Amino acid sequence: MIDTDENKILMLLNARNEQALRDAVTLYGDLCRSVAREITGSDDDAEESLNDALLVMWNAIPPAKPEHLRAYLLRLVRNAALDRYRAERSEKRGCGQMSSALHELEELLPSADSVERELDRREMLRAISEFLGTLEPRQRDLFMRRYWYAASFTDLSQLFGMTEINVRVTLSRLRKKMQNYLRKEGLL
Amino acid sequence: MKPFDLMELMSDLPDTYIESAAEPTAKHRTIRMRYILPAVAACLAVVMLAAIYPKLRVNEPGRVDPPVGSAASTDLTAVDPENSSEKSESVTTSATVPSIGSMTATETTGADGSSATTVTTTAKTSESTGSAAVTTTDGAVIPPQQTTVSRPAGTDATDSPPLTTSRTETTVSVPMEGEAGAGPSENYQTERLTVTRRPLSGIEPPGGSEGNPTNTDPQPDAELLTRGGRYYLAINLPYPCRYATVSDAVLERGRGHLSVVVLHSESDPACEQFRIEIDLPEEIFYAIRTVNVTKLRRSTFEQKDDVTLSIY
Repeated sequence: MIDTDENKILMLLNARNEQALRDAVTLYGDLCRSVAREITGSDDDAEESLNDALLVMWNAIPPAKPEHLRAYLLRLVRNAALDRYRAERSEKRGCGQMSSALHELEELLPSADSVERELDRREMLRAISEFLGTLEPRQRDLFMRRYWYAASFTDLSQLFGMTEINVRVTLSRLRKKMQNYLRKEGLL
Repeated sequence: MKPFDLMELMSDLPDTYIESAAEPTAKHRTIRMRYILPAVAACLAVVMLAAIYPKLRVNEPGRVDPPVGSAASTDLTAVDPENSSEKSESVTTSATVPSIGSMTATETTGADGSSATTVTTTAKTSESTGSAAVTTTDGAVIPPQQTTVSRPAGTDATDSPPLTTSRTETTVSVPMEGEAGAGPSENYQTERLTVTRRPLSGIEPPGGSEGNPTNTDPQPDAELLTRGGRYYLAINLPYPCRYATVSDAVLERGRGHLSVVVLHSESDPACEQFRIEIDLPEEIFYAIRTVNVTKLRRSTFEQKDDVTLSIY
């Protein structure tokens, strides 16, 4: 059913039909808003994040052909929400101009550092992905729900039929396990 | 790397992980239900079976258990090896015989084993024979059933003690070997309704129901045996007998008590037997805990010994 709806939305996007955006909101709006709200802590920011993501998706498709439209849109929403979160924190530090200045100077930093950071980032991403691949699906879903969807412990306990304490203990063990894995990979 | 950077980094995790985590609830609940539902169903089935199994062992269709403390009894179909086809018919009899002179019996008969008809039989016996008029309790017409009660030769109403039985259901006599074709003296049971004979109540055997301590004679022993799908009770007698009858079968709370009347043979050594074998239905076989063996003198039906054997 979801695959059919996704294909329909993709067809509409390729046809540059704005109905695609309305259908995407109808289908995935609640989930996207939930993720954005958990990250930004604000309904307004969540709505803004969703709108930003829809705009990015409208511009990206075509030519982009995402295999999983829901995951694609969720990723866009998450990134938009993280950007808003970061921007909000910078403003709250009272260094709005300073932040801008630092950002401008950052462009002058040697490119080697960016390359090295990007390599480290990719290596870390690979290791985390591999680690998640070693987990049982239920544990992996729990980890993703907490650290990707930023779901609360209460929501997790309801989603997975576990007590909150059980959720906390399980996540604590998973973090410890991940730390050991990354150490073993020489990334920590 | 800061936590926020790690959070950002995780945005690029594979779509499959994101998709899988998007709907964890339905997926995992389905998995749980797959195991939980059969387990719950199995537990319920076990509990229900445990609750009704004792009743299944005791109850027969259309039968109501008497209240606890009364002379509860169950049907017993000890199979006559020579007339097994006839005996396989479901005949459930409840009979009260206050004396040999008159008999009131309630008979419940299911000819094909699946249905039961309640009839009331009233019999007035003469010295040696009697007839029973059969009427149904609900007014339906059933042809009168001739019931003949004959005394053994040489006995009459005056010299034979009155006999009684209480709630004997499907009491089936077990003739010994050589019994077929015997003389008229053996004709003291009807074709379908067996009148069992027990000493009149009030005549307690010496030593009570647990046996006669004053009797130093060797006592019989009983054992339950199975062989080739056959379930039977074997009673080894220390004295010869001519005839044995299962007079009563009582099943209370899953524990069966069987009463066997042995006709002591003192004057007919040709037919002496020292071992009785009584075929039993499997459910009765496993329920039996005690066997009461009553020894009667053949000529007068006078009780000589009454011993209760426990079987474990």
